Amino acid sequence: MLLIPTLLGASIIIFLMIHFLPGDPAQILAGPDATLQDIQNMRIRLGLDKPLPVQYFLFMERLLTWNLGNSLVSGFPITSLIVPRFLNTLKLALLAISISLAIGIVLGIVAALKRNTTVDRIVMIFALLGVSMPVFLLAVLLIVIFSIKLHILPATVIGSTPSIRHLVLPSLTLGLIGAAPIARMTRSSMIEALSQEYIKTSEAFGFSIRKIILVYALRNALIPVVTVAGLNFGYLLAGAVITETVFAYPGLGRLIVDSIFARDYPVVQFGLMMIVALFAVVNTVVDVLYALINPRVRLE
Amino acid sequence: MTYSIQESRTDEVLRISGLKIYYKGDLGLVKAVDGVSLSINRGSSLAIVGESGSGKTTLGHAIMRLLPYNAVIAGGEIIFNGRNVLSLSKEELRKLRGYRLTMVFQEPSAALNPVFKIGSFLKDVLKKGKGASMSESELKEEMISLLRKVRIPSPEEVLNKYPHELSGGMKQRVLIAAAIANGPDLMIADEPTSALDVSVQAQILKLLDELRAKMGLSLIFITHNLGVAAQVSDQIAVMYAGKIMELAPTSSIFETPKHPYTSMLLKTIPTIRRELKKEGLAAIPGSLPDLTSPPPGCRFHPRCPMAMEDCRKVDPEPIEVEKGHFVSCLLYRDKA
Repeated sequence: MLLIPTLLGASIIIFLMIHFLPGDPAQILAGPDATLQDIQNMRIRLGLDKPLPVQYFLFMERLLTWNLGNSLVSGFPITSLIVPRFLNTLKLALLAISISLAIGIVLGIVAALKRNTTVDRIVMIFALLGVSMPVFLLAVLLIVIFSIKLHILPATVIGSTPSIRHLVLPSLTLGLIGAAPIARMTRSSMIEALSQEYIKTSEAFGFSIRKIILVYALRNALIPVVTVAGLNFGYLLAGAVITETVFAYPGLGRLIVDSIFARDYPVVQFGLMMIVALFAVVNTVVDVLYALINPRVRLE
Repeated sequence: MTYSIQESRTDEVLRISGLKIYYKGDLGLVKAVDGVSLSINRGSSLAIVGESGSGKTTLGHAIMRLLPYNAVIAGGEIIFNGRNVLSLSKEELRKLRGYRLTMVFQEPSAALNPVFKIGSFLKDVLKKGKGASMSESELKEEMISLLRKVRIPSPEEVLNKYPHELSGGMKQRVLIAAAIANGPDLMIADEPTSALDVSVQAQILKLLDELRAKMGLSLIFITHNLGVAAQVSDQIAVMYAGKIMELAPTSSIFETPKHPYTSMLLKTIPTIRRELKKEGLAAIPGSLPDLTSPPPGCRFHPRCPMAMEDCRKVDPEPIEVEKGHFVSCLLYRDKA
């Protein structure tokens, strides 16, 4: 289990990173008219006068006891800021990865079965576009098409609780972009699986084409796809920060970006920790899934 | 002209006549199987022996209609249980395969799907035929009895295992169990022991021979090894460059080989006696002809020590020199 050491390492990096950011939070929070004494007082109030290791242990203590303290800017408890935003991002991410998997796997299978035909080429061009297109460009394109031209979906979220309708465009943005690498991987691993001897055995035993493709070949072809989808989840979380900003979606990514600009560093630190924890958990789930579909891994 | 070992054809499972299979290649058509005729009776076994590239595997795959996309069936018929396999629809073929007609492959490790348990594979096979209306517990019993038939120890455990947890010999037994699961009429075994250790080879050969006798199934055994062929076959067909050179009861092939190629092949079998005499192994000089433009006349004539002038011009027809012993060689044309 690499989950614990990963999280510990991440906590140290996140803690240090904030301290190396330009700009002194004490100075900013004390305001433009503050005297040196005011800034010093603020520094003591924030605990920034203590040595770095002590600050790190205090940070970890707050994290582990889930007593995150208050936002430096708004004064609200950080827990109440982060948790609903985290759940919103989780919703978005899960929906997006589902869209990616559904579209990517179906297109990958179709391309593999129709390889070197026009259908295959169209799918691969789509995949190339998906890999190369920046998230914000697709987001803006979707807004132009669905919100501005067709008026069928809202472009931005007003308030802090997005509805299903609000989720459609952001999750489609992330899902379509995530579908591209999955489609490419499914195509190549499917072509490989279909050329294996055991597929010939399945034919020799007269199994239906449907069963051969969707069960015997796909089960093998999905092994590398699971790995790609897991890694993709990391890019998806990074992309979520941009997507949330474009769509004004009340997710954790946008909260972190806003807090960085406001130098609200405890919110940034704990927000980042939540994203790291989510990614680490997803990777652990991928490892388990991987062993489930690939029995040869289980021995190790 | 069709080879037939017995006069009565009532019990004929398979009859191939004039079969021609060509591969489309960059250099033209490769005539992999070029006018092969043979037949096999219920419960008997035929070994098809030849060098790599002789067309023996193509012939085996043609019977199953498992040919690669660039293969062309240029002529002939494959009559299995009275129906021409070559004119069946995909759906009819699908019903035949794994049920009346089955195949065992060369590489048991590659032939089993690595992500499915043995039990799941066998269940899928059984559900095609015998097990179509069985309950889960009946299916399990049937699978266990199948694994017992192929001499797999602790069959219940094996059902729950993945292919990589079994040895090569065990995997081949599993594949044989699948091949006999629905009580087929004909099993084609394509070099089923070539990838296995010699000691395991002998066990598998014995098993195949036993199953054939017990279940009354017919066996086509494809091999490059005459010694292996001797252990499992009633008749042997010697193939060279897409044609059958000689077809005879197994004992006749070994005792009174007629075709010069067969005689030369027999000399390539290593024996301890030859080793001790330090005779070394005989090799057949030359190599298989280019099958895009095979030599005119007899295809073996460029390598044949007994080649005559006519061998370059006349493609020999099979001649029945003794009862059930056919040879395609001009040396015997006066006996026709």
